[in-house]
Amino acid sequence: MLGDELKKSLEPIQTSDELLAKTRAAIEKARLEQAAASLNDTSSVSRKASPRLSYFLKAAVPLACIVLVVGGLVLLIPKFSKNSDSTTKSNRSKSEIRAQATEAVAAADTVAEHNKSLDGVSDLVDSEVKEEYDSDNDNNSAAETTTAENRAPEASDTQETTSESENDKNGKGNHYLTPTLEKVISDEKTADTGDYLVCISDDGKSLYLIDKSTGEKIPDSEDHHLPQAEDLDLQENETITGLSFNDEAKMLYITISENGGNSGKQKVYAVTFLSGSSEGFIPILVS
Amino acid sequence: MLDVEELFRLYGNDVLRMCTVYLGKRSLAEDAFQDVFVKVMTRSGSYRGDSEVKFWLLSIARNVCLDYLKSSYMRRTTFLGDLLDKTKPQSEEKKRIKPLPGNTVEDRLIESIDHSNPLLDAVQALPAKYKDVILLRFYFDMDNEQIAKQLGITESTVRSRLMRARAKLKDWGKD
Repeated sequence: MLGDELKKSLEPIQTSDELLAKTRAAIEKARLEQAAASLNDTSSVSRKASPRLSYFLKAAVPLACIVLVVGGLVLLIPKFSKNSDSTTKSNRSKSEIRAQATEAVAAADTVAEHNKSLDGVSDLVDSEVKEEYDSDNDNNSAAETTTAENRAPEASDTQETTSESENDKNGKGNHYLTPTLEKVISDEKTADTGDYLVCISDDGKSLYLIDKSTGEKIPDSEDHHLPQAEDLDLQENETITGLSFNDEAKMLYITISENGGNSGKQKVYAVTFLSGSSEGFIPILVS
Repeated sequence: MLDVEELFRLYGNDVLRMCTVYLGKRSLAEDAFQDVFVKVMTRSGSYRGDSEVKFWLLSIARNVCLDYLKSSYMRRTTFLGDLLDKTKPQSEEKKRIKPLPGNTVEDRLIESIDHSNPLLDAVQALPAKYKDVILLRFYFDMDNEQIAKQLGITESTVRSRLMRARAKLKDWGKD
């Protein structure tokens, strides 16, 4: 039969000791390789754990970022609050500055009002002087026998001015002192301005300030300035003979007289006097 | 745990013979034999015990042999014996090749298997699918059901393959 024949044919094929020995060696080698592979598998297991680590890192990085941001905010918020405080302070200082500026503007407005009032006084003085001058001129013109009637009004004005100046040159100018001017012209050697006392020097060539609270003389400075001889254009024969102070208008009137006030012209200068210092001066009268 | 010495003792010859039938050459059969037992011992954990160890071992041996046949080495290599078989008439081959007196019994057996067994030559010349059924049916004495289970085919397929294989081997002893 086929089966028997096949078995008989294959019967001589048998394993040899050499083949079995080779096979055992191959098995042992394979087992060693398998053990090594298992070690590699162990390392691969650790490699498999690395994705967990990577997941952890992936989660940790945003967490670290959040922590950093929160920490930064914690550190920065106090600074911001400080900045806001300083901003508030600066705002306060600004508001204070604005208040001061408003006060300064108000003071400036006061000075401007004073100037306006001074202008009003000047205009009033001018108008009164002009009226008196006109009336005097009318009286004089009636007595003169000139051909002034034929002259043009402009020419007559010119003539009048010329005659006036001639009269001034001759020291025979008219004294157009009104009650207002009489108040201004003074022979007081001191003027009480409130906190300060304005005094005339002994030689009558200058002014100086005295602090009423201390009684000490205040040297001339930027903060405490009074018009000096050169400011008032004092001549050799002119001296400061009187002071008066209008407290409402904060105006200091300085009377200058020739020859010590015994004879000659008198000039009055009006000076704005605020906080112990004068600002500018206006010659308002020459009598 | 499988004992390799026990496996050698029980199934060593069967595995070697099976490999020889599949691969046709003793040297290749011995290489395949080593690979079979290496796989068996390194994959012993994969033995589930639902079949006999013998069948499991034979299935591994069959797969190893089929891998050898599919390998590029086998496709690129032409053995000198095959070349002689193709160039010389079978009758002259049989006349020329005589059993040589070897130094050992093993050598003589090898020579006799490789060169002087017409049935073995005929079985080795069969396609692999017919070798399967011939070996399992006539060498390992399996019935059709066992063969179908072992090969993963139906019994009818087993029957048809057996019929065709036997038809191919019908004239094996006529020469």
